[in-house]
Amino acid sequence: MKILYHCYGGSHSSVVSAAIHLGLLCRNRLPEQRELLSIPYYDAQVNLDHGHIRFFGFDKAGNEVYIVGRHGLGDFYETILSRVLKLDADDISNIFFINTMSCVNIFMVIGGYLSRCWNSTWLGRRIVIFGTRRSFWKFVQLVEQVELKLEHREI
Amino acid sequence: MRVIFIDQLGCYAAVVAACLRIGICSEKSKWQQIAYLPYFAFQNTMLPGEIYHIGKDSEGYEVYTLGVGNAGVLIKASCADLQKLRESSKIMIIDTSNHNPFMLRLFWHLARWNILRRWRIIIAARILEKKVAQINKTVNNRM
Repeated sequence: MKILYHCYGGSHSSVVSAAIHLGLLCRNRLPEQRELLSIPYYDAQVNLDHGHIRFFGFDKAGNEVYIVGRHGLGDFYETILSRVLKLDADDISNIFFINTMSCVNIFMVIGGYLSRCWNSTWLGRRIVIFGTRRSFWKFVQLVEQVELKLEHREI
Repeated sequence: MRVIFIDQLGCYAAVVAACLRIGICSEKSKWQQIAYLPYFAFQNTMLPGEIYHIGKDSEGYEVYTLGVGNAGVLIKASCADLQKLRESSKIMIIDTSNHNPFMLRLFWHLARWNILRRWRIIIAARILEKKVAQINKTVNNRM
C-alpha cells in the first residue's frame, strides 16, 4: 500500500502527518521546536519541489508513506492522478491519497508563506511552528483515522 | 502506451495537439475545422480533472486529453514519479497549457451561459488557429 499525504506546499501539514504516521513524532504530547525542525522536509521544500512525490518511510505495517505539495488543486489532485493511473492499471486501490489541509490553521498559512515564498525563515518558521503545535492534535486524529481505514481496508 | 495532452480544461490546446498527433487536423487547419474537433471547447465548467479519449495515433498509441487547471508542471512531475513507483512507463504526459493564451482563458467564463457556447467555440477556434504551428512543434518535439 502506498500512502500519499498531500498539502499545498509539501512542507508542513503533509510532513507532520507523515511523521506522526511513522512515529517520528510522539502522539502523546506536543512536539518541541527542535523536534519539528529535525523532521525531513519540514519547512524545506521550494517551488521546484512541488509535484514531486517524496518518499518518507515505511510504517509498522510495511506501507510506503510519501508526501507531495500540490498547490491549490485540493481534492482535484487525487481525481486527476486517479484518472491517469486508471489508464495504466484497472486496480489503483493500493494508492491512498490523504489531503491534510483540513488540519491547517491561519498561523501555518501565514508562517509557511513567509518562510517559503518570502524566504523570511527567522519569522516564518516561528509562526509556522506555533501554528503546527496548535493544530497538532488534529494531525494526530487525521493519522489515526487513516490507520483505522487501513486496518479495516475501507479504501 | 498512452499519450495524454494536458491543459487547463483538457479541451482547448490539448485537443488541438491530440488531433494533430492523430492526424485529424494539420498545421494548415482553419478555425472552422478546429471548431469541430472532437471535444473542442466541450466543457461547461471551470473544474479540472476531466479526461477525454480522442483516438489512436499511427503508432497505435491511445491519445487522451486531461484538464489539470494551472498545475500542468506539477501534475507532469507527479505522474512521472508515480510511474517510477509503479515501475511502469506506459503513460506519456505532454503539457500544452502554455498555448492557451490569457485572452482565451477569459472567454472560458462564457461557458456558464449555454446561449453563448457557440461564441465561445468560435472565439477559441479563431485564437487557436494562429497557434496551431506552435502546438504542432510542441507535439513533434515531445514525441
